[in-house]
Amino acid sequence: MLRKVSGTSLLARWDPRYKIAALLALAFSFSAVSRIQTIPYMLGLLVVFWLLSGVPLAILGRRLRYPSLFIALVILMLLFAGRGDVLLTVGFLTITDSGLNRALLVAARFYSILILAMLFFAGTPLLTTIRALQALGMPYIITDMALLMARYVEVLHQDLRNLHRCMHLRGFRLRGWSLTSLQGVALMVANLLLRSFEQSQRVYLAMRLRGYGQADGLTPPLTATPAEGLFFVIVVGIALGLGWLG
Amino acid sequence: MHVPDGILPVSVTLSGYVVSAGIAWLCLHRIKQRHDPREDIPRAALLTAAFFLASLIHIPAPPASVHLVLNGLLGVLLGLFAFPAILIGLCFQAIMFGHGGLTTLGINGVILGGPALLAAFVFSLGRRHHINGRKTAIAGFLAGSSAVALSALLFALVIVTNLATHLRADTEQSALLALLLAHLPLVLLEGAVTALVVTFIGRTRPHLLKG
Amino acid sequence: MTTTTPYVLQLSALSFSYPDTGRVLNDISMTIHAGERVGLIGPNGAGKTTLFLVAAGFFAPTAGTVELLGKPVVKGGFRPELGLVFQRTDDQLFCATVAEDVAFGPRNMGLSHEEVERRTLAALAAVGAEKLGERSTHQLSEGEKRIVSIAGVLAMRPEMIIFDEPSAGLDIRCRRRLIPLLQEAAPTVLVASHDLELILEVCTRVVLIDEGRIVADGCPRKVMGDEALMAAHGQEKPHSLVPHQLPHRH
Repeated sequence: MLRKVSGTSLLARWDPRYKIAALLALAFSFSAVSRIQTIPYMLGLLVVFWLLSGVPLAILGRRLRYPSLFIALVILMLLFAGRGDVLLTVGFLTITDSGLNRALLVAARFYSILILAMLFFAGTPLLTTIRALQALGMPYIITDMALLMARYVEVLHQDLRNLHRCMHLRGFRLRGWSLTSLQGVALMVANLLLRSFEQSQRVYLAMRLRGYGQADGLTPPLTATPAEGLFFVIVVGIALGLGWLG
Repeated sequence: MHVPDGILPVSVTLSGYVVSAGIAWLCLHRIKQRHDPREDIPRAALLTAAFFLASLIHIPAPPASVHLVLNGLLGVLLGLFAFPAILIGLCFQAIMFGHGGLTTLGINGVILGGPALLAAFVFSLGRRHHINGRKTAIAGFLAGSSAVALSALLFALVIVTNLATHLRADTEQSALLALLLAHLPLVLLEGAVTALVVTFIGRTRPHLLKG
Repeated sequence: MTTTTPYVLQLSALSFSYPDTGRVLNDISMTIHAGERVGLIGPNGAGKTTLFLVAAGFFAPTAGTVELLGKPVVKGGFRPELGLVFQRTDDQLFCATVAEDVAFGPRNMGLSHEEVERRTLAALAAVGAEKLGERSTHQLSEGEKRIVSIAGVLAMRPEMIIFDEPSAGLDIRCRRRLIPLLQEAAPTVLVASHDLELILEVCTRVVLIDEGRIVADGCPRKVMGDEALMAAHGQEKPHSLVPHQLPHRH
């Protein structure tokens, strides 16, 4: 969905290895925010990265429309069942000071990290991210699997759609708790797995024939300018600073 | 069953990364000892892609709808590859849908991947002698349901122990209970689907179940 | 087809059976010389694909030997001199982008980055797909997938290329475009196809196999023009070899 964002913004052009490392540093520093007073700094950083990313607000909004149901529950629970002094009572619900505090912190941290990740991955194709992980020393078993997965997930998705259509045309409907529904799901999963297995056998032959495993995955080297390195150092410094503020 | 970002303290999420990396390293180490470690990569990758898609299937289960986790089945079919496969799947979810959490990638890997390895073990006990219909189905049910049950338990423990200091004691206990109860139908569903799928595969491609 | 030209691929008394089935290949002997374009025809399940997989060293033959350019083919070895274009393009194109897929083979041959890039561009140019380089493989049309999968094999500069059902799933225009590619792809070519008109147009020699045995080997017009032989092995005489009963109008 975010691939539509142009790859020309500063953040999109940043060397993906630095980008991944910086994202992790920032995400962890965001998750370490434990005082209400630090939240504005975090939000300020978010705005800076948003400006650097060039991601239109509309796209961000579209993706935030489906926040995790679970996080909403956690926030509500913290809000209404927290310890501490009672601030407000609405009917049988009470809001405490520390409850409000925690709920705000959790919400701020959750949304900030979510948005930050979106901004960082916008304009970076999945493939580039995997290549960067490879360059960062991720074992070949993992990166080869990820590359193949990225390639075949669409192919298999089409298979699954066709499978579903064939079953639908022959009268199958997914409906609640029933044995036929369950059997249908199992049939769909089993067929999808078998197809992916069969295809993997053929893919393996094709890969081997073109020398898979002969040379140890020589891929074109990534190059970064000193400016990109400097930016990385600055961002990590900011992350450490935020962590220190707590 | 993903722990989202922003709930857990950094010490817990970082430990999650360390434990996940450790388990992944062990799995990869064992895989690399095989005659040709690359031989199984395409199979593991495409099955992972299939699992990734299967976990997106929307099953209407009134009053809500559920997604399958299928980590037990994944363990049964992928063996040692199951753990790295789950880490990759979690990365894809985080990157593609912003779902699942970035700082909690490690802990989510442990919650879902650990039980997947356990399921592989449970299933291998069940079909030690030979593959026949009923035994395969029972082993499949146990593998599928135990994996999800264990994942739900780990998930609930991680959540509740980390929120406990901020919640009133009565809420804490009922939250734990509610979380576990909410997962009970999923445990049965996963067991049943896993049993049906392994029976189907046992009939059509038995060698896939031989680990 | 003179016997003095060196052979590229030599199969001697080759037999093969899968563990759970009977014999798939039965005492196959065949020599392919440099410069030949050989068509392989036969009904479904005749053993064509298995023959390729044994020739490429995926399976060790249960009896007999395979030699490629004077050296025996061993199971599991890497022989870039032999290219194989599989029937299903989605199996052949396993990288995410076209350029990466074409570069996959040369990269594994241990070539320098510059050489890999040179070969990639040359191979894409050879099939007329220069513009597809940065495209994602799963977004290509079936015709584009076919020519890109051929480019991926060309980039390894093989002495011989085996094509398994190259025209399957292609429309008339793509099929037209494929024919000169098959004729010029490599010095030596082996094409398996049910598209007998294609074989007739591309090949200088044809081999008919059925139930794992070679039943005919010779000039395409002669073998495929033998109606009784073709019918006995589930084939039809190509339409263009049938004398016209009715004169063309216009």
